[in-house]
Amino acid sequence: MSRETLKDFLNSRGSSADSISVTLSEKPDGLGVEPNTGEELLNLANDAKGLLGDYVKHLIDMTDNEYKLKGGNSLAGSGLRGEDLTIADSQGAEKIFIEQGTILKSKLNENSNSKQFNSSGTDLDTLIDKVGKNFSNHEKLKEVQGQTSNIHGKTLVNPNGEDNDIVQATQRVFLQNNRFANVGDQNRQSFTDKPQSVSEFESAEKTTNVGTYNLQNKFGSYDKDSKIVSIDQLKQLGASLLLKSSGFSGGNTPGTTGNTQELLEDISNGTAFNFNRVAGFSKLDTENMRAKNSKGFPEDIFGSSFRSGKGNIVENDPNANNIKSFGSTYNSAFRFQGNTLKLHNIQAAISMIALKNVGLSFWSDFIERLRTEDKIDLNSSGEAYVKENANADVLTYMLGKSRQLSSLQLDSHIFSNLLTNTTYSYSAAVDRGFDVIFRTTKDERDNKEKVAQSKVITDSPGFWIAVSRSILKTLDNVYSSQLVLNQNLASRELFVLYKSIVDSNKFIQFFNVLATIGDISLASTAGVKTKLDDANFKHPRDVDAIPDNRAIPGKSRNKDGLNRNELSWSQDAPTSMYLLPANIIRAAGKLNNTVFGESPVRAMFGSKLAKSTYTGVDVDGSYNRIPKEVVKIVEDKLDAEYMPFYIQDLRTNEIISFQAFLSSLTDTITPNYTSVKGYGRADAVQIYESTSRSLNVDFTLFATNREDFDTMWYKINKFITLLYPQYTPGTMVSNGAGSKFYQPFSQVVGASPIVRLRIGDVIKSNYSRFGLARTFGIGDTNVSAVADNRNGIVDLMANGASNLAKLKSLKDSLTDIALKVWLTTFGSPHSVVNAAFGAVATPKNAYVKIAKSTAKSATISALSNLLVNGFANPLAVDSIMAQLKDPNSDRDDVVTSIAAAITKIDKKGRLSNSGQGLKNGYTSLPEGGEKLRQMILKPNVVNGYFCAENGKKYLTSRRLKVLITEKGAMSNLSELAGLPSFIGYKVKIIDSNAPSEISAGSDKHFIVRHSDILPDPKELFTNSLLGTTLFALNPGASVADSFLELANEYTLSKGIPNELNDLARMLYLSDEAMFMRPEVNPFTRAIETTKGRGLAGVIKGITFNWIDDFPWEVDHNARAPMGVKISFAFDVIHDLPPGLDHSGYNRAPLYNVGEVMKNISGDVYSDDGRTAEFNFRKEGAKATRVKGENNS
Amino acid sequence: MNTQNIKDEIYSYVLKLDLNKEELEHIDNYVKELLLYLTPLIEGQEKVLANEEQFQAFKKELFKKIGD
Repeated sequence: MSRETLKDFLNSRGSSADSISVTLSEKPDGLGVEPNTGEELLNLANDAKGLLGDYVKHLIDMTDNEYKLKGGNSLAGSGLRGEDLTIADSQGAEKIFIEQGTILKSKLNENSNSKQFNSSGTDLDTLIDKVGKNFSNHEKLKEVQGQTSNIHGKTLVNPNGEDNDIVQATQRVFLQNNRFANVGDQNRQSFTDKPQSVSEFESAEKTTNVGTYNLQNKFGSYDKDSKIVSIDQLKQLGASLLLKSSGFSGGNTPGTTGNTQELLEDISNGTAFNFNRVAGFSKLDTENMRAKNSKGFPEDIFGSSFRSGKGNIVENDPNANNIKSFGSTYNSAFRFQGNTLKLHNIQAAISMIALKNVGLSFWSDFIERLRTEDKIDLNSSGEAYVKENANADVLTYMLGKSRQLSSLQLDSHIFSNLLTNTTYSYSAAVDRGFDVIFRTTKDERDNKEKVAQSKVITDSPGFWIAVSRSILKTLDNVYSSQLVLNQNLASRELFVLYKSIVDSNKFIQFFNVLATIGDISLASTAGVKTKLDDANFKHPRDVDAIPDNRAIPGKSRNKDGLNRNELSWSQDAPTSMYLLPANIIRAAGKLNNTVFGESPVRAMFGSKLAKSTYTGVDVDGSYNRIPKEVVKIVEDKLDAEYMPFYIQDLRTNEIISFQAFLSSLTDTITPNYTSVKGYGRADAVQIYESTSRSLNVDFTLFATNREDFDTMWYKINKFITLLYPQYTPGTMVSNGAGSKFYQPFSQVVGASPIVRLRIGDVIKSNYSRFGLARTFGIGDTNVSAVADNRNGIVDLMANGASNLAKLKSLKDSLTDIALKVWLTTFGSPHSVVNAAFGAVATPKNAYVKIAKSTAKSATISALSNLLVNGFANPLAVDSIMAQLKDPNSDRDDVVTSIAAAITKIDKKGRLSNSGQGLKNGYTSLPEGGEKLRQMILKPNVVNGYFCAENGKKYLTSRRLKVLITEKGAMSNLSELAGLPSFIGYKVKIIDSNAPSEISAGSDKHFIVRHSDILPDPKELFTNSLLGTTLFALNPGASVADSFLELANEYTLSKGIPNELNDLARMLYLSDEAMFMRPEVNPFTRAIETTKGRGLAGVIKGITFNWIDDFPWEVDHNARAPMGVKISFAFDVIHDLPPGLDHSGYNRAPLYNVGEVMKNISGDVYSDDGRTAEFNFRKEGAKATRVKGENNS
Repeated sequence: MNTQNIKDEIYSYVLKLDLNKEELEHIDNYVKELLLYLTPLIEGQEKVLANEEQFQAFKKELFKKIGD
């Protein structure tokens, strides 16, 4: 074809050829001459010449193209950047699209730079240079900074434009030139006329507004004056669509569709319904729910849409399941709250119940029929088989045959391909799933309240409505595509229906979800179908439901905590022990800080620290230390931890324990040698010098709640003291007139911070009395170690009791006696025993020394069984802890006498309970009570607090001061309906900084839970028995007397502790064992005075990482991280130098791990760690779980 | 299973809820519409289970589907 065209062209030029030949020219300005025609192919010197150009013109001339070309060839316009563009008229065309000099051409030129951009205040050509002479456009764009992607993955330039001219100018031009720009502001510019008010802009009158939507109903012509849709109409259109889709508005044209405003008012008044009174709910035709048929769309005088009959949806699309819809479930008036919420819930529940019944009943009947058939078939064929094969193995036959059974095949297929795997029967799991979600078990259905409060539904009604509708719609789609409604279904159709249901899969998916939920629920009860929320049932896999213990790492919540949300890994979960010297308590009193100002006793006994505080008459003065017997008790208790991790301050014997959230633990042992080189020796002589051992530990502290946060920060502060020395009292000075005091800053370093570190069983002391004995050479044949003075035993208990009386004669001063009585009553009872035994003269006789020591240990050990954490006084602790305890829990005892306290102590060393709980919690006072009884209400921006007076809910972002005015069941405290029953408080807001509506003068009350209140140590302590007695001291000695008697009595009555075993053991001690006893051997005594299971050493440095991964608390005086990563280095000072002894055996192994090493290294304590091991097992017993129906 | 059983369970649930007349009417219509959609299915199920021929036909279709 093209060859013919070319031939025609050449013929017209007098040539008979059908191709163009080329004779290359030597001229630089052309290709050369075509030999047949003698014409130049390309002549750039003459615009009218050029065979190739003529051929192109020939081709164009042959078409209907009106825009013809000139013949010949000419040089094209420059395309180089910076060169002016060549106008189209001089580019070789006879006719061009837009000619010079026309109006259209001037408009086109405007578009090149409309000058609109200049309204931004920055001319366009200063930002972008078309000719690129001034700067590079590419470089300019690179300067526009982006920002990180948002949640939708989109990046935007910084809206503020930073300092970039392009961004700022672009934003200004957009702000000033858009259809809304001048609405309500005559100083702005826009494409619409100005000025213009909002109402004018939104109105249907479009005399001045040309920027809004016009309906275009003809193709090819733009009508800008008629069928304008105002903003007001667009709003109406949106509302109408919602009303239609939610079933409140019918009509298939704009005219027949109800007025939106009137409908919304009717819905609010409860006089409009989204269902047909006769037919009930019905699905809507989606055609009716289109914008063109809704109110607000342009309509003709008959009310029909201007778009009527146009743009119809494809009703018979084979890929479309349905042209009808259940529509939306809500609109602006009908929402998931208020009066309509209940109906939504009920509809969802009803849908599920119906679907459950339809699906499960058929399936169970069908499969049962199959099984019956299989059974008959198996029986009959089995009988026939036996008759024919009398000697064959019937069981093998049955096994093979059973694989062909219909019911099993179906079961296998269904379960492997369709239904989710469940541990328990699928139908049982689905039933249970329904029970969990809808509480449809019969017992609970009988409980009206429970049904109404089904939390799963009330928490997310919209979700369940959506689920329900989705399933119904699936079902309906199947009907619509496969069947005619009300058709009499036969098996074939039914099968097709089910196949469609299965293929569409939502029906099955929903039941799979139910089965999964139900299966988990059944698994939690080991398959036992308990009542839901049966508080007495012990869920075998629910570690939080088993008794509190320190043996299971996975346990999260405490079952018997101070409140139901208390976690088992809180700061005070592993026992810590802090010293509160009597000096400090006295100082607070003498400085009049009883109520206001610093008062450590208030801080420690006004918080959870009460159970970790050691105070008493034996810690008064300088260099106070918690008795080593108490240290042993705490260490024995900590040995029952899942992973013991604590530090003992050897200056005070305090113990700071942590949850072992370790992220790094390294142990480096480095021997050091001095190298001495000798002439002629290749290798240096290595002379041993020393071996150093250092540890590096990284771990994390994290507060589990606000109260725990306070405890954590006390712990951190105590931890830091391990890097500083203990100081001497200083130099006493006097003015000669009776005033004496220590000279300020005269204190010097009195003790270095030596500590013991315990981490599991890998980092602990290498001390054992056996190891020490080996340093005496005991075991060597030439050694014979014998203690002197081996005489008989005296009656220590009688001797001790007589010495106890000495305590009564302590009469330094009235205040001091009173303080001592207080310390005796509320301090650790050990301190009394310790002090009493301390008052007994030290005998010279070795047996008596040992007997005195063991009797004291036995007394303390037996007494510890009665005490919180083994050392804290239950009377002191309980009056604090009872206040901290949530009144919803079952304990209720708040005792007021020591005798009552001791008689009510339970196995856990705490006061027993009578099950009412109401006496727990904070003290309430009637209106006008003491101002000191105020508490702090925690911020709550999630659920907020109900106001009893106005029923409003207030979300508080900061703490509020409140006064607890009532305590009790909520139903008694408030008329507010719908609140679940719980014991809580009615608190009066006395905070003048509260919003005026609820501030101090407004007499408003909140209904709050126990956990909503942040106890103020000051108030808590003042409200307690401790505070009351400490600050209103009764100097009578009778309390102390009765306590001491009781202590003695209980000590004697409680079993035989290990220390008493030691007492008996002493009778048959060998000479060497006697020799090694600390009572007679000063070396043993020296080492064991500071003994502990931890590895001794010094902390060389601590690094706190406050930022990484930790949120910060923002409460007052608490704007600090809720957790911290701590790294510290630790240089070891071994109790016994490691290495080989002279006989060649490991004298002090570093790692006492495992049974073999335990038998080699023993234990630091003389009971060989038996108490610790006993405690370890005891905690394990608590963690034992029970399975089965009657397990509670 | 028939529609009456479903109704019974639904109403035993609904009657515990202390609904007023308007609400009961609302729910009643909802149930009515629901059962309208479910009735053919329920009746079809009953027919298949009651009629041996239908049952066998259903079974045959089912096993054909699962590849027996």
